[in-house]
Amino acid sequence: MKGRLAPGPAWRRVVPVAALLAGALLCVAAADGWREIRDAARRITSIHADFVQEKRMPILARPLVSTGTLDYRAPDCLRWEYRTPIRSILLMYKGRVRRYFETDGRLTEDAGMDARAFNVVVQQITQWLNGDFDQNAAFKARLAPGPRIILEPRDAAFAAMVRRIEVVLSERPGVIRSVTLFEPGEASTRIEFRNITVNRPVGDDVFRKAG
Amino acid sequence: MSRAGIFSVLLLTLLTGACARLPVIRPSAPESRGALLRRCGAVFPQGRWQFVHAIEAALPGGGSVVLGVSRISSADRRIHSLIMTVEGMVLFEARRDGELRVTRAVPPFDARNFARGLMDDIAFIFFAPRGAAAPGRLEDGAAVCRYRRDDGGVVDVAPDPADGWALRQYDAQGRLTRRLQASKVTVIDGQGIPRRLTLEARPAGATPYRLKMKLIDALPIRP
Repeated sequence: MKGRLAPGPAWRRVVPVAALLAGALLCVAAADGWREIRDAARRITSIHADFVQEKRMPILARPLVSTGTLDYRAPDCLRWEYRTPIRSILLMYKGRVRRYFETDGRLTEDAGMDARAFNVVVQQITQWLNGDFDQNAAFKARLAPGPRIILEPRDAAFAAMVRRIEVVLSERPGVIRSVTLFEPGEASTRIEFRNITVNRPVGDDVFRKAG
Repeated sequence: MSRAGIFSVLLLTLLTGACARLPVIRPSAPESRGALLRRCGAVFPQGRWQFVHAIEAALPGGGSVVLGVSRISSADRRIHSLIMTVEGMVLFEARRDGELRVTRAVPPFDARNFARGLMDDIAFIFFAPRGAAAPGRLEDGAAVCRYRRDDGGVVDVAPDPADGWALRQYDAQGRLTRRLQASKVTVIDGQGIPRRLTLEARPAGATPYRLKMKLIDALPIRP
């Protein structure tokens, strides 16, 4: 046992104090961090970005890459559009969610869309874009160096679908650089945002019309 | 969306036509038999492949689309299949390696017989039929290879000289149960791979359906 810190009385006193101090510092940092993130996000009224999505799974010999664009207007308008490999558009306008896909050059409304499931997903995305990471019923959030936000599901039903979500923040306040979903079975989905512009006026039609 | 509605994502009513019956074929001349058998055999990918398709189902009032990943091995007829949303959420995953193992099935993809039907569809599309083949011609003159299965069923493979091929499966009573039209063939690693597939299935005792599949990726898997 030579050279190893023996668990004596001093050690027993120091460790809890250090732990308390570290915990307190972490809480302060987190509290400041959340407030900063939220304040920065709330100064953003709209976002336009390109994205590249990479899906990795053991079955896939190479990642499945999709590309598209994101448009967001605070507080509740979203357009999530895949351009490749197939065109698919998710629209949220004042609480109503619809999805379209392109077939033979025409856009068709998705009659098979599970509106409840998509509402959950869209609610998550809009909460994140509003900077509300730490007030989330579905995920508990913590800040990590990067800066990254780690989201872990609170209940088992979510955990069966998503083990963990990592949100990497851009150096630009209030802007997300990438989101990675870690799924069961060594699968992951990484979405990287590029060519981001913020606070430009965006008309209603972007969120109301697919074409 | 209702359970029935979700189920319709992959299962949709076929409105087409009356029940087709097994057509008569005239045997090919002996000198052309070998060439036709080779053309029929060439429509099925040899070795190990991974395919990714956008799978579209037409529904009343619209339609829906999912992504399908099929990893196949022609030598041992193994299949690993996965269905996910365009956004990447996995809805279904299963393997058939002698026995069928479902590792994930989100409702409605957990429906009884869904996994077996899907694996049969994939095997129909990608694997050469079992059984002896007889080359011949249909009444309209179209070349066809007729495979007789052990269960009394028949699979006709009809290469199209212009583009692609058609597969037709009949049960022991001569009723058409599956039909595939493959088109827009591209050559990858020496293998003709169709960029468009239309599958129609009329399983006994179940709802008929039609799927349109667009090729997104085809990759030969090296050992």
